[in-house]
This record gives sequence, C-alpha cells and structure tokens, in this order.
Amino acid sequence: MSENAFSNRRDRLEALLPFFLNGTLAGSELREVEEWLASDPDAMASLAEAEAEYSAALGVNEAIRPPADALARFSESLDREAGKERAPALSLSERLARFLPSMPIQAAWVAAGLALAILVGQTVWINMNGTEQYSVAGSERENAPFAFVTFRADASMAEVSALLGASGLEIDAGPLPGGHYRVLVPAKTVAQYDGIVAGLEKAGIVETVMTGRKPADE
Amino acid sequence: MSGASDPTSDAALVARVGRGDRAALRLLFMRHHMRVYRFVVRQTGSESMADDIANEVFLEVWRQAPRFEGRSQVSTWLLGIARFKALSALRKRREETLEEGQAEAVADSADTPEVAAMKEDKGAALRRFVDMLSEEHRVVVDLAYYHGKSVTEIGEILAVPVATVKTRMFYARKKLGEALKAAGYDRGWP
Repeated sequence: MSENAFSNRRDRLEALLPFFLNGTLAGSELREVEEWLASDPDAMASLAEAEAEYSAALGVNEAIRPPADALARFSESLDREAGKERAPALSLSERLARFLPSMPIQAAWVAAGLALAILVGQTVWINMNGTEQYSVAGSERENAPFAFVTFRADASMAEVSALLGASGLEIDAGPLPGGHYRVLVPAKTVAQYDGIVAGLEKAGIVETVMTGRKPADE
Repeated sequence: MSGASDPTSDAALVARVGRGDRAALRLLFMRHHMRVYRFVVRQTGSESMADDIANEVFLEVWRQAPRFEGRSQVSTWLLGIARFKALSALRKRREETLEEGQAEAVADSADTPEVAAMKEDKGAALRRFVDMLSEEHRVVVDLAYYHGKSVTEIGEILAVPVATVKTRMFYARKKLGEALKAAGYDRGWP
C-alpha cells in the first residue's frame, strides 16, 4: 500500500489527524492539518471524531491490568537467566565496618593494620622457611626505598591489591596516622623511584603519595 | 523521557543494563511493563500469553542492551521487540488446536456486532469497534492513540514504510466510521 491509496486531500489529512492529536505531527504535515482545521468546518467535526476514537483506544487499553506480582516473577526469571545476583562490591572501609561492627572506624583501621602486620610477618616467615626465592631480606627491607601512600576511602581491597601487584609494590606498614601506608618501592635508581611514584599518583584509587626514602643512585 | 545526561533516563538505564546492572533493568521494567503488557494483550488477545511475552521482552533487553545504539526511543525499541515476540507466539498458537475456552467464547457471542452496538452508547460502541478492527489496523490505532507514537516510530515497530502506516490508519478510521454509521450514529466522514 502507498499514499496513492488516498483518493483526495481530505482522506490524506484524515489519516494524519491521530498524529496531530498525539502531538507527533511536525513540519509541513502539521502546518497542512492546522490550515485545514482553521479553514474547513468539516475538519473540526473530523477532529471531534478522532478525539472519540482516542478516548475509545485509551479505554480499551487501560482496561487491561497486568498481574500484581509481575515484577517479582520477572526478577525470578532474570535470576534464572543471569544467575543469582551477587552483593555489590564493598569498599575497604565498608568491609572493615562490617567485619568489626561494634568498633569505631578508626579502631577498625588499627585492627586492620595489626592484621596486615601479622600477615606480612607470616608471609616473610613462610617464604624464609619454604623457599630460597625470597629476595627481600630483613636488612634489605630495612634499607629499601619506600613512599607513603593514602588510598581513596571507596577503594576496594581488590583494587588496592591489583594496583600494588601490577607495580611490584608491597605494603610494609600501615595504616599510620593520617591513614598512610608505607609502601616499599622496588627501585634501584632515583629515576626509577620517581617513575614509580609518578605512576602511583596517577592511579584513580590513590589519594596522596609522599616520597620517603629514595635509593642511592649507583 | 529525560535526556541522555539524566542518569535515570531510559537510555542511561539501558546503558547500565548493558554493564550488567539488574537494578536498572528492574527500574525499566517498572516504568514500561504496563504498556508492553497491554500492547501484547492487544496483539494476542491472551493475558497469559502476554504475561510470558512481556517477561521475555525484558529478558531480551538484558541480552541485547550492550548492542542498543539509541537510534530510537527505548519505548519504541521495547514495543518492536514485543511485536516480534507476539507474532512468533501467534504463529505457534495457530499451529495448535483451538483451546476449549476459546471455543466457548466463540459459541457465546450470539449478537452480531451491529445488534450489540445498538445496546450501547456511542463511546462503548466505538470501543467495541476498535477491538473488532483487523489486527493490522488495530495495532496502528493503539500505537498512535494509546502509545503516542509517531508515523515514523510506528513504521519502526511494525517494520513497514511510513506510507503504509498512514494508509493503514486511513483504512482503520474509515472502518470505524462505517461501523458507527451502520450502528446508527452520525459521522461526517467517510
């Protein structure tokens, strides 16, 4: 079918009236309908008929009511389609707050620091006893270059681990007053150290970086 | 609908769904389910089919959201998916035997349309005649009057040229006018 089906201008305009009523008519077609309505008395009668059709179509559609539990059943279908929903990722501070709900957040950070220190000590002990590949000996660690880093409050543990792992960095101590962590920087020259620190400063989850001990240039 | 910069606009919600955000999909569902459901009931004449199909439409959104390019309104996209699924379901149903309930419904409709219309006022008669339009005419009437869609959008939903949309609207309105005249109501056109 095409617009040639209209035998005259009136038929073509009658077909446009519903779109004039629903406000989607534009451009030359809108102007043509408006001129017709303004100049032809029959046009206003046609508009009234179209309004009655409008009401009828609204009436028959609005009489249809979806089931009240549609959303609940859809959620079940979605779970079957996509698997059970996981809880949203929590930030480091949120995890600590949940883990230690009765403690104020500052105390939680101290507890986390202690846990981290135990973990570091344990790792050193395991590595020293279990393998010869361990490379940061106690004396080396004492003289190793480091920087002080604070992370954004909404940074997750996974994000911090990923960042440190990607750069070969390691938390040596923290959180210290002000929320700083002492991070060992695997650099042999000042240029390497500055490069690593510059990279840290650009990371989205890092809030501040303060330079600490730099390596002595060879 | 809000603009794309609005984080709760339809387009923004679809983008979130594309990243796996189920809460965004549930919000889209709450916003559009009623109209999608009604659209499918009108297509299929079956509330139970519409219930399943409307669910399927939103699951399809979950699957297709990463590929949604935003060339049309989200509501137009949803109705296009609903139309496709409704037609598929109807094709499948035609291959099956007439259900018992439908047979009873056919047997119960003793009045001819004209006789039934005489028992009603003009508004009720018109609602009845809208329901009795052929599917291809009724869907154009519903999309324009109830869903507020433009000629172009209806063309997108039905996958037909805009000229066809206008022609179908013309014949739909003509048939409504003729039915009203036959039932004794004045009508200037056709």
